[in-house]
Amino acid sequence: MNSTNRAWNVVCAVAFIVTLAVPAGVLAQTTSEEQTVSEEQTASEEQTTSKGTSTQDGKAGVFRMGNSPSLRWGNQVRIDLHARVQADVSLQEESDAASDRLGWGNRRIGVDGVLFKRVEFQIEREFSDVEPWRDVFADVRMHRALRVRAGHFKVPFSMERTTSDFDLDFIARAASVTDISPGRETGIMLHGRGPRRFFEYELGVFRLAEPPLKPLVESGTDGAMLTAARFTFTPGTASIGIAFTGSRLPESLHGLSGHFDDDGLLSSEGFYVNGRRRRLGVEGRWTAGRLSIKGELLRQADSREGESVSNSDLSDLIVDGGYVSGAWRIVGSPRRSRRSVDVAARFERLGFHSTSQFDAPSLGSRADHIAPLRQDAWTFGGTWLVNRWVKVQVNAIRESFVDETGIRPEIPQARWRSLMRLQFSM
Amino acid sequence: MGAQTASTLFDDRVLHTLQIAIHSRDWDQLRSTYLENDHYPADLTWNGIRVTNVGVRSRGRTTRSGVKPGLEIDFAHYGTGGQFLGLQALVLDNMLLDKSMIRERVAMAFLRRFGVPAPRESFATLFINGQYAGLYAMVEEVDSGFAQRALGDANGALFEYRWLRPYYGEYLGDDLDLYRPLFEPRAREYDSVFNLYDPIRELFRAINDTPAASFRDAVGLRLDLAAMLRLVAADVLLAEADGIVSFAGMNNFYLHRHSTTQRHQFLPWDKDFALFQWNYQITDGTSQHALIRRALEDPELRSLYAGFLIEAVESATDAGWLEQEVQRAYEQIREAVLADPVKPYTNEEFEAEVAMVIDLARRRPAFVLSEVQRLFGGR
Repeated sequence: MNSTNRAWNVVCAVAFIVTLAVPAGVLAQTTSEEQTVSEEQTASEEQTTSKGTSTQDGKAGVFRMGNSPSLRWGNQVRIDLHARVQADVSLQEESDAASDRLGWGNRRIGVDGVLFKRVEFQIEREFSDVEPWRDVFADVRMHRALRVRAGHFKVPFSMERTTSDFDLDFIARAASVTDISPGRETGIMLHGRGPRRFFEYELGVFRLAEPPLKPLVESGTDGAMLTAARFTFTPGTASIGIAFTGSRLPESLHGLSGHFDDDGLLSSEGFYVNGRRRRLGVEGRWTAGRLSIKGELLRQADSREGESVSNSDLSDLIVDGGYVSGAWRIVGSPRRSRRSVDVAARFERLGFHSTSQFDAPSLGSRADHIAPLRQDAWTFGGTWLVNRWVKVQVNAIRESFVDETGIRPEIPQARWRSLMRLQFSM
Repeated sequence: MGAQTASTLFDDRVLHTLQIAIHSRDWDQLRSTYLENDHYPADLTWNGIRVTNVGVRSRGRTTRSGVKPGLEIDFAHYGTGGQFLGLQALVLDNMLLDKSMIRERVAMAFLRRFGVPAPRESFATLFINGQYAGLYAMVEEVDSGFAQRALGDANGALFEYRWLRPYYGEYLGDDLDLYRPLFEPRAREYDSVFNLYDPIRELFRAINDTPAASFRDAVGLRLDLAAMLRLVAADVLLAEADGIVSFAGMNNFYLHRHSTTQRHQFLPWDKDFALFQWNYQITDGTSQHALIRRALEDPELRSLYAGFLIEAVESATDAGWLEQEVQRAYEQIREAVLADPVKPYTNEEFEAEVAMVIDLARRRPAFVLSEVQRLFGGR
């Protein structure tokens, strides 16, 4: 751990201790309803993936089995244990051996809970060598409108990205969401909401575990900071939100690799970036009975300072896209249900281009006008919630690539994919 | 400004100016890794025309340099369909092995004058990011565009010969993999190995195994023998020591196979060893060379060759063309060469080498003519 990391961890720890030391009188000003911290989890369901049972029985040392095993010590401590696993099956006939068609999705265990009515916490680990620690954070409630979260958790950006993998309408998130949204980082965040959740906010600052892209020159000062803000308004059954992030971007090569190229066809395209990375997201959701519709527009702009052939600035490199999806509950209560069947459809788009369109489009790594490429996809799916623990999802996905300039020698062919997911979540 | 064409770019009456804008780090990287073929984006400006997003790479075999790199400008590297004045690429020859810096340009001019399909060339002063980077020869790339212009066939197979060891055109055997390292495809790269190399194998089989009586007809089906002899005759006049008939086997040529006739044709490349010795023997290398040796055993082809040699002498001496061309090229580039900060030789060496080439231009045609008369007895 370098000095930057240590300093950042100290800052987070000190800030967190200060919030814990807030006089209890502050809490006394809140209502009893507001003190039931677990109820507020639904305001951020993506970051606290399990809803515990009530802690109001006041008995100590009680073991309960609700959706998941739970330990209680009066109404002061609640600890829920979780285990979740997903198995994915490719349904394409042309796929190779059966073993190649099977794969694990997420496999996680974790605990979460509430301490002394003030502190929520969550610790979750993935059975994977890649980023094994998922959410590891504590969340202190000072007031309904002011909470402090510190640790390792999702950056508040994108409605779908901050929704748990286990609660999605489709097997995979929209490509634009996966591609553009930041993931989990270590940081500290202020968040809260107004009455009836009409208004919610999240303001965070994070230290990136790694630079967003591999720097051309290792500076030895990794740990770039990312700031994020998200505001959500919920008038009635509709919800709209807007989110921003900003971070420094080292001089690096940003290619299509990692965006589109499952087949490696586009990995040779790389574009120099340098300066700042800014993200903007707009989201909306509307629910009416059995129908729910939601969508997002996301945009990531990377500056290219001093990256032209004459060492001057280039126009921003843009990755943008979005989706709109609708789901209809065929079976089960329109609201929460232990057994239900939903059908859903989604159209999504992910694009790669630059803001300038002055020159002829090019694939040159220092082109001011980058030849645009986009991926469109339709997803049709069904979700069967068998019981409170078991869920089955089936998706059919049609992906196509569009190179309007036609200057790429080769782009992937349009294709259908079909997947099935079995999920156990406790 | 009038209409600009590739002919204007290769107008050798003009000393052109090329400007290349390339990111300073890319230029440093290209020079430090000059043995690699990595492309770097750049903008090219010529005659007020700016071409953006061209690909620039280091090029050459024995002439690679990190000080004065030979360059290839690829107009299509960052997108299919990219071109400049109809060219897909442009070679900037650093002329590192030619202290006179005029051999390549003058030799190619003579070849074209003599009716050999040869790349067009002109001189250019090159500026990298505004800094003078030396005198270069702009050379037309031998590609499908060249094949269309010079041979009227853009769809044929095209190979660049790779010198790996002295190879005199002998039959290497049935295995096509024996020919692949020598002939690197530059067009129709995605054709099957059999389609690419079986005709080459059969060409060299015919050259070596055909009885003398049927040599002309059998080989003539697979190779334009007249075009080959014309090129060899021109090389002899130019005292080319490193061409199809060189001191160490075949070298410096492309091999084109016509898409309809399936006949091959040799195309010249890299003439920086031409004009090197006025009394270079006109038969040097021919006895070892399977193709030339056998062709000259055929009376009709031998007579044709002798005629080409005399024609080459006449072309070189017509109104003193060769000497005047050397003198003109020298005067055109002298100031640029003297100011060239990265040439790997001194100004004195440049002047002495030019003097030697001028002397050769005066004496070589007469020497060749006397040798032809001695060896062939006239036509």
